[in-house]
Amino acid sequence: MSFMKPFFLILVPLILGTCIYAIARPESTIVLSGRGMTKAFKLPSWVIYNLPDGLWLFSLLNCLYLIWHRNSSRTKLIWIMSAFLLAVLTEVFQKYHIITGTFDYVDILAYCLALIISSVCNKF
Amino acid sequence: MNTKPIIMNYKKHFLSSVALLVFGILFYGSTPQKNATNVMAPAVQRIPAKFDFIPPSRSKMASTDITIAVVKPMYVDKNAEYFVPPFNEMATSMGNDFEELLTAKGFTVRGPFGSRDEMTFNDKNSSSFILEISIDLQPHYNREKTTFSHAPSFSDLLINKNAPTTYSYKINGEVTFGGYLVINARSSRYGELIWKKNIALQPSSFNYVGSFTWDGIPNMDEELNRDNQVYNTVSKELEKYYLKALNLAWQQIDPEEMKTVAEQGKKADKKN
Repeated sequence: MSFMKPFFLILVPLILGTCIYAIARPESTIVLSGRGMTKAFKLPSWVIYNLPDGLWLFSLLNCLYLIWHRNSSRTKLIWIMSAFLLAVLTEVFQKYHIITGTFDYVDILAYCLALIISSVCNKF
Repeated sequence: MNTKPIIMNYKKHFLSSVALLVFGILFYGSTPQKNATNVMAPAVQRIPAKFDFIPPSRSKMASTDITIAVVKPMYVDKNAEYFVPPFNEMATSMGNDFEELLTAKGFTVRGPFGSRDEMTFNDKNSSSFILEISIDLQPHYNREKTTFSHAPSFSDLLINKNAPTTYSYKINGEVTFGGYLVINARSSRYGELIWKKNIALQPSSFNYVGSFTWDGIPNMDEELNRDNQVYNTVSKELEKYYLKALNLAWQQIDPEEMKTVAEQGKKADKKN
């Protein structure tokens, strides 16, 4: 497998999601604190709050596809769906205040898109 | 038996678990301050204060044969918040309700006048005496601020590398109302003080929480003007205070006593 596919499907979405997070989110978020850069970029709220999560899940799913690319479809599917369901469950837990955070149905939409696009990318 | 595929599989399971754990931490770390895209905090609606006193009973109109000129109630102090709603609304309503109160007691009422100086010679001549109402609210505010600091944005730093941190504030506090309703009766022509009643009002305290985020520390009048939540809380308590004050005034104003006051007023004006 060439280096380009893992680079574009795993590293780039991971770095891009993290950069959007670092630049556009309020400084009080746990992941990155420090000097705030909240007002620098006037981005739509879905780019700031939903796209990073979608990109991270996309990166994770591609990572799992890479790990299991030589194996049977069944094992691969179990890991892929586990990762996807874990992401969706975090949203559900936030809705019922089991964990901190704010439930957002757009996040679930982002997760579904990440699953579909990663599945398409890894068929080719 | 070839164990290599089994070992490889274990490695893959381990790597997958590590990947899940790392991304799980990333997801969880991103959650605390997220704002859902379609959730908007509902705006607090201002509920206009309602100051209304209904006399418990009504005597026959003009049954006492006394005409009282009423001067509009005023606050004793000149606090800035007295000039904004709901305080100024309370003073205006009190003038109208005092007129209604005195009419219900059987007096004939003139006014309310802005001040004694606004009364014409005819008004003064036709009145038995002048009634001035002063509201000595003696408010006490115990306000606290919650400070939020905002580091300069990336674009601010590009313009000025020494751009300062800015601050915003949310205010909450405890307010106490008490004091007195002071009713002065003055002779109609020369304004001599002939009767005074201090109606003590039991202090009552309440808490309020501001919904507004301020760039500086606001005064109470600014909070009342711009923060509907503060206005709603204060006006609700002021309505209770208003009813208590007027109910006490109803009990304290006795037509028989006012007849004596009217005679004293006539004597005072004759002396002068």
